[in-house]
Amino acid sequence: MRRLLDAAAGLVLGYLFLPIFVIVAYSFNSPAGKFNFVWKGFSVAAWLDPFRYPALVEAMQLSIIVAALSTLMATVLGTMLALALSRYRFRGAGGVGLLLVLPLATPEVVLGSSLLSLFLTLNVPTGFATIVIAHVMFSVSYVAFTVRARLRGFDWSLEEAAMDLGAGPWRVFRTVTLPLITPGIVAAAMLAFALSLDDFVITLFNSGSDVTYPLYVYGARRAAFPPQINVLASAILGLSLAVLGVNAWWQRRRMRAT
Amino acid sequence: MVRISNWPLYIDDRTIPEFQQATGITVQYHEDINDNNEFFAKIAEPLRRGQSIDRDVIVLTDWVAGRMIRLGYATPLDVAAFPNRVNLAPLAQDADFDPGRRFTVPWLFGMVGLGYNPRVTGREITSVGDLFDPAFKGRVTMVTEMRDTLGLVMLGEGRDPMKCTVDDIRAAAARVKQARESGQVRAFTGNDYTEDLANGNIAIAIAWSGDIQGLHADNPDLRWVAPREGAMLFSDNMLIPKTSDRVALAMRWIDWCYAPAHSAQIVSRAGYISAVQGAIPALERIAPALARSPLVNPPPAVLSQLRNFRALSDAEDSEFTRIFLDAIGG
Amino acid sequence: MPSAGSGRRAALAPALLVLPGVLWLAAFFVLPLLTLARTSVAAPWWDGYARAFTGYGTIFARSFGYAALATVAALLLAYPLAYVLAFRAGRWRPLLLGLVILPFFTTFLVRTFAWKTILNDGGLVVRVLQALHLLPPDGRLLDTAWAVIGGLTYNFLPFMILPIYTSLEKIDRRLVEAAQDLFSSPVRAFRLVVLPLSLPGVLAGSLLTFIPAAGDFVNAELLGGPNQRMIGSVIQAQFLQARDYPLAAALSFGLMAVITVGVVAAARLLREEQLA
Repeated sequence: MRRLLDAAAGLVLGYLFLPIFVIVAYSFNSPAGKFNFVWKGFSVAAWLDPFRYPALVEAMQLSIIVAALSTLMATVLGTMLALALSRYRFRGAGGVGLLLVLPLATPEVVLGSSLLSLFLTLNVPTGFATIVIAHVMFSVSYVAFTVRARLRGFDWSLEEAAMDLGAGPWRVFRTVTLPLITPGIVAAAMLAFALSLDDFVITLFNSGSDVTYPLYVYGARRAAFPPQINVLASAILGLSLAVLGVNAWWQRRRMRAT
Repeated sequence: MVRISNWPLYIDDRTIPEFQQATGITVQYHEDINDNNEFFAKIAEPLRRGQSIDRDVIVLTDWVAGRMIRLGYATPLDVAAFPNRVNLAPLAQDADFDPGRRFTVPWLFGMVGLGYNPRVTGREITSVGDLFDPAFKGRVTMVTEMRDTLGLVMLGEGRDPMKCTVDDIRAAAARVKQARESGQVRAFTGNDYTEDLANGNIAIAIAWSGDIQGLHADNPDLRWVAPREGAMLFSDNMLIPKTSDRVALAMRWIDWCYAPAHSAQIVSRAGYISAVQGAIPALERIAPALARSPLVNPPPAVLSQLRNFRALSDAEDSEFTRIFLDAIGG
Repeated sequence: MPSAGSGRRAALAPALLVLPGVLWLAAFFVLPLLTLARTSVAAPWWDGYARAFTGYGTIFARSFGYAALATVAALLLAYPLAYVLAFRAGRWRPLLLGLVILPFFTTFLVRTFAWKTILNDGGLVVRVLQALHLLPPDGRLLDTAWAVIGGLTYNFLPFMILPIYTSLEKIDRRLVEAAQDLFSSPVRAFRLVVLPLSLPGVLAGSLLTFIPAAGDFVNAELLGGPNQRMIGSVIQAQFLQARDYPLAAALSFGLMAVITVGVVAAARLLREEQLA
C-alpha cells in the first residue's frame, strides 16, 4: 500500500517534469522547417547561436527588466501589507485581506481586460509602464500571502525587548525583525519574479506594441518557432535551479550556524 | 536609422546588409507582424492619437493597407525620391484599395490556393470541392484570413469575390461552419499548417503559394495548386505610417527594394511573386530553378484565374468579419 | 498580539504600512473593474449583455465543463503526491517541494508547446494509445477536447498540490496514529479522519484550479481545434482584434458572475456536508 502511494506520487512528479524534459531535449533539435514540434536530429547549433533572433532577445530583455522592476515594487508593497496584517490588530484588517484575495479569485482574462479598459478610458497609451503596473498589481497579493505565512509564529516580543533596551522602532526593524524575515521576503520576491516573467494573459492586454518573451512565443505559434526559444527557456530553468540550490544551501548553513 | 515591420521569413539575408553598406543607413528590422488584425489593433490607438509607433515602413496586406489609408494613417510616397518606381509591374500599377498607388507599393504578391500532400490524398487535387470531400474528414485546414478562406469557397460555388454580396458571404460562411462542426475541418490556421502538411497529418490545406514553395526543400512531394474554379490573389504592401519622421529614409529603402536584382534576392528566400519588372531575369541568375517555378513565375493561364477580394467599407468589413468569426467558432 | 507603544502610534503604523498596497490595488484592480462595468454598458444599455448571452452559450458551457473536468483530474493526481509530501517525505521534503515548483520557472506557454510535441500525431503517446485501441488507427489527440483538458490539468496541478499539502501537513500526527489504532484498515483511517481534515486544502486547490481554468484560452488555442474554443479566447479576440468593447466587457462579467455563483454554491455544499 505504501509502495503504491510512493509509486503514484513518483508518477505524478514524472508527469510534472515530462514537458520540461521535452523542452530541454528539443533545444537540441535541428528542425527542418519553421516549427520545432517534430524531432529531426541532434544538433547543438541553437545553443551555439542562442541570440540569433534579435526580436526574441529583445523580448527576453524586456521580460527580465519588467520582472526586476515589478518584483522590487511588489515586494516592498506586499511585505508592508504582510507586516501590518501580522503584527497589528486594526479595524479594516479583514477588508484588506479580502482586497488581497480578490485578484487571486479573478480570471486573468478579466484582470487584463479590465485594466486595459481603464487605460483606454483614461487615454493612457499601453506599453512598458502599463505592463509594469499590471505585474505589480497581481504580484502584491502573492508576496503579501507568502511573507505573511512566514510571519506566522514570529515572536514579536523580540521587538519589544529590543525597544525596552532603548532602540528606536526603525533600528529595531532593521537589526532585529528584518534579518529574521528576510528568507520569507526572498522567497516572495522569487515568486513575484517568476510570476512576472511567466505572465502572458494580463500582459497581452496591456503591452501595446511591446513584446515580452511570453508574447513572442505566443506570436511564434502562427509564424515560426525556432529552437532558440527552447534554448532560452532551458537557460532560465538552469539559472532558477541554480538560484534555488544556492538559496537552499545558504539556508542549511544558517540553520547549522544558529 | 530606418525602422521596418514585416512578416516573418519574408526577406533574405543579403538585402539588409547590402542596403546598409551602400547607403550608410542602418536598418532596424522587426518581424513582428503575425496577423493583420492583431497588428492593426496594436498600432491603431497610437496612430489615432498622432503618436509615433517607432516604425517608418510597415508591410500590410492589401485590405488593412486600405483601412490605414482611409483612416488617414498613411503618408503618401514621395515619387521624386522613388526613381525605381518605373519598375512597378503592370499587375501592380493600380489597386482598388489605393487608387494610383499613392501610398503603397507591393512588397510581394501571393496566391491563395490548395496545398496538399499527394502521399496522403492518394490523388491529385484540382478543385475547391476537394476541401469538402468526406474522404479527407479531419485532415483539412483552412486559414483565419476571412478574405482568403471565404474568397476561395465562393470561387468554388461559382461566385466572384470581386463582386460578392453579403448573401454570398453568408452562404460561403455557412458551408465553412458546417464543415467545422462536422469535423471535416481540423483547424483554422495561420502559417502553422505547413508543418502538419509536411508531416502528413493534414491532407489538404488552404495554403499560401510561398509557404509551399518554401517547404519543397524538406518535402519535395508537397504541391500547391490553383483550383480550377480560380484562386485568390493578395498583395502585402509597403506603407509609411503617418507619424514617421524619416520619410526620406523610408523612400530610400522602398526604392532599393524596387531594383530588380534586390527584388530577386527577396523572392529567392520568400518564395512569393515579385511586383518588380525584371526580377524574374535577375532571379534566373541566382536561382534558376526557382525562376521557373509556377508559384513564383505563374503562367498566364494561372494569372488569368486569379481574383482579388473587392474592397469593403468599414461597415461591410465588420459585418463580414463577424459572420466569418461565427462560422469558425466564435 | 502586542501593542506597539502609545495608542496613537499604534493606529498610525499599520495604516501607513497598508496604505500604499491598498491604494495600488484600489487603483489598478478595483477601479478597472468599475471601468469594465461602465464599458459593458453601451448604446442600448443591454446590447452588450444581450449579444453576450445569446451568442455564446455553448462556449460558456464548454469552458466550465473543461474547467470542471480538469479540476477533478488535477485533484486525483495531486492528492497522492501531496499525501506523500506531507506524511512520507521526511527529509526529502524541501527537495520534493522545490521540484514541484521548479516547472513554474519555464514559461507556461513554452510548457504548453511542449505538450504539442508530446501529443503530436504519430508521436509516442498517440501511437501507444492506438496500439492499446484507446484511439482509432487514424485518431489523434491534438485538436480534440482531451488535449485541451489535459493541458488545463497539467498547467494548474501545482495550484492543487500545494494547498492540499499545506492542509495535510497541519494535521496532528497523533490524530492519524490514533485513527490507525482505532480503525481496522488504513483506508478507513484515511477516509474518516485524514480526508475530512484535508478538505479545506482540497477546496482551496479546487478554486485555484477551476477559476483560472474557466477563463483560460492558451490551452485551447494551442492544443485544441475550432470546436474546442473557450470563452477566454472570445474575450481576448473581441477586446484585441474586433475591438467590440461592450460585448467583450459583458462577456467578462458574465464569466465572473457564473464563477462566483458556482463557487458560492460549491462552498455551501461542502460546508453542509461537513456539518452533516
